[in-house]
Amino acid sequence: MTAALETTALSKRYGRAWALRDCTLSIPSGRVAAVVGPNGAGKTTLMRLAVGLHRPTRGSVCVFGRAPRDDADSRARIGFVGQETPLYRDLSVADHLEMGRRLNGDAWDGTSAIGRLSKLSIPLERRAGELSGGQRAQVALTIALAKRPDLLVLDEPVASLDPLARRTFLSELMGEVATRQLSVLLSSHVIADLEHRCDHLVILSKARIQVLGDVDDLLESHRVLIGPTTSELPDAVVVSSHEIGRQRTILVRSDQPVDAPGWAVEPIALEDLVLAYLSDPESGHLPGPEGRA
Amino acid sequence: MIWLAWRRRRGAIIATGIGLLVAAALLSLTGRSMWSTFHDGGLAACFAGLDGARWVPVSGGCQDEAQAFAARFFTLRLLGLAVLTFVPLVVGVFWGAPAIARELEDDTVSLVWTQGMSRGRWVWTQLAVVGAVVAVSMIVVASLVTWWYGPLNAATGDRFQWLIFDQQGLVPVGYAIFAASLAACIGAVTGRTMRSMAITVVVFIIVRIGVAVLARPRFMEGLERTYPVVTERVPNRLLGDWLYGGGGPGVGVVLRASGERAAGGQRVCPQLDPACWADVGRAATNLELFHPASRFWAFQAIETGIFVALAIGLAATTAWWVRNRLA
Repeated sequence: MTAALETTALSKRYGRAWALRDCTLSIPSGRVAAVVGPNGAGKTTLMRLAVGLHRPTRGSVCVFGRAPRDDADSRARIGFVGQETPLYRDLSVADHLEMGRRLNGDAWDGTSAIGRLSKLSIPLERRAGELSGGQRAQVALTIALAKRPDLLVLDEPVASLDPLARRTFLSELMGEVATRQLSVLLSSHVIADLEHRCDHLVILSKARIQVLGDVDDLLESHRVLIGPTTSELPDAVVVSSHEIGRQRTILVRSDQPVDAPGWAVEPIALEDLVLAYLSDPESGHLPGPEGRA
Repeated sequence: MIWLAWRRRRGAIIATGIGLLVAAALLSLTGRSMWSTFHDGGLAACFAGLDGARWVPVSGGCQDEAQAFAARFFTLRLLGLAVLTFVPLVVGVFWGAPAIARELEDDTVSLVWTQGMSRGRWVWTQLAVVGAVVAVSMIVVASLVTWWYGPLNAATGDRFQWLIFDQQGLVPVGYAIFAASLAACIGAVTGRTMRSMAITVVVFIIVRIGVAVLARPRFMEGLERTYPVVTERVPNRLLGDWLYGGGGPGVGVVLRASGERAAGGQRVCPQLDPACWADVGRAATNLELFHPASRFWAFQAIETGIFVALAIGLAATTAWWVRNRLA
């Protein structure tokens, strides 16, 4: 089966600075993949490459096997919501739907779009510039969904929303994902938003992929160990280590169950896992033969 | 796509429409007063009596009547000159600069470029809609201005002169399309509306002066005309010939009987005033280089063609840039 998104040594340079370097990843169809990383790590660049807004400087990006930048047919299979959820300020919500209908032809699903907006009680005649942040995000998502995409790419869609609107938006999104069997690529810097919602994780740092993998696998292979500073380190890769007084907390990675006498072994939450890697950009974990683990 | 390009610009179209109405009201009010003075004040009848004569007596040829008319509308003419010179630039920049740049600034391109339509079609549609609005509104303005200038052209004979030529006929349409295309191109490259406006103003003025001063006199080979310094008839200056060449304070030069050039500009001397002609000799002739008034529309067409061609080149550059260079 073709991957929803596949990149090979994907790189993008602006002037002399690399926004993304040697990014190789494959996201299977039907997954919800989260892209996390600090600001400027290359999240937006990766997303814009994936939807064909950017052309790679080097390497390749394929969506369902085709390069999106020069292929309108493959772009027709992608729904995109950009950062700050851009809409035409002076156009009404209804105008935006009309635009979608005119630009997408038969693929456009206007009926469900109108149904979705009325369920969210967003007035169709209101101009986009007068909508709240949450409503804007919903309109942008509705437009992206009305294309009946196979891949939905969302670049920090909830960044500007308050916590309640954020939760509403994300559960709406997950509902759609479940009913439509979409593949999703979603970026956020609020990691708590992603927990229990994504099943694939991409951590970007300094324009490179730092961690890549299935969320369940990652959670299973990482353990938090707490013990006295005097305890011997177990036989596993230490991702991070902190000492407070005489107590030491380490995060280890191992494919086998960790055998660590003298340590309390605990599972890790996704947010802690992500933060541990982000706070130490030198450590990394990639699958496959080219992994830097 | 065209629907979206129109729909997005409703506000700008209304603003342009209001601007056109105000311009039309001002021009028709002042223009009607000039035309009625022209007819009722006897100037029209005087010109009719002259019947387009190429040569007229030194003091005659409706010159006194024409001067009185020009003096009466001197302020209005100056005002028109000051305002109308900038109309094509303002219209072009207002429409051209945001055409691409505003969408880059607001990142609405990420919405529209990810729909089922090619970027090439998108950019050409934007350019075509902007070009059409600019062309149509400038054709309206230029027609009104050309009508408005009618009596002033007749009374001053300088329709073909720098700055006056530039405000009537076809050329304002060409200038505005050029300004719009230039602003759209710079907007696409810089991604900033305001920056594009600033750069366009500078580049536009340079190109306009360059074409007007360097190229325009050479659109066609100039004609030469000689007539005696000591004479009783002179070329009809109100016909609208363009005397562009020549040295000194006048518009042409004086040749002595020997064929050498005399110092200073042209002159016309009565036979009974030897002090006027003594230094150049009685047989000296005036020589002037000019484009006849009949070439006015040919020159208009050539200059408009130059600016439209530049605009098309810039539009193609803009499209290429949007398709290939914008990430």
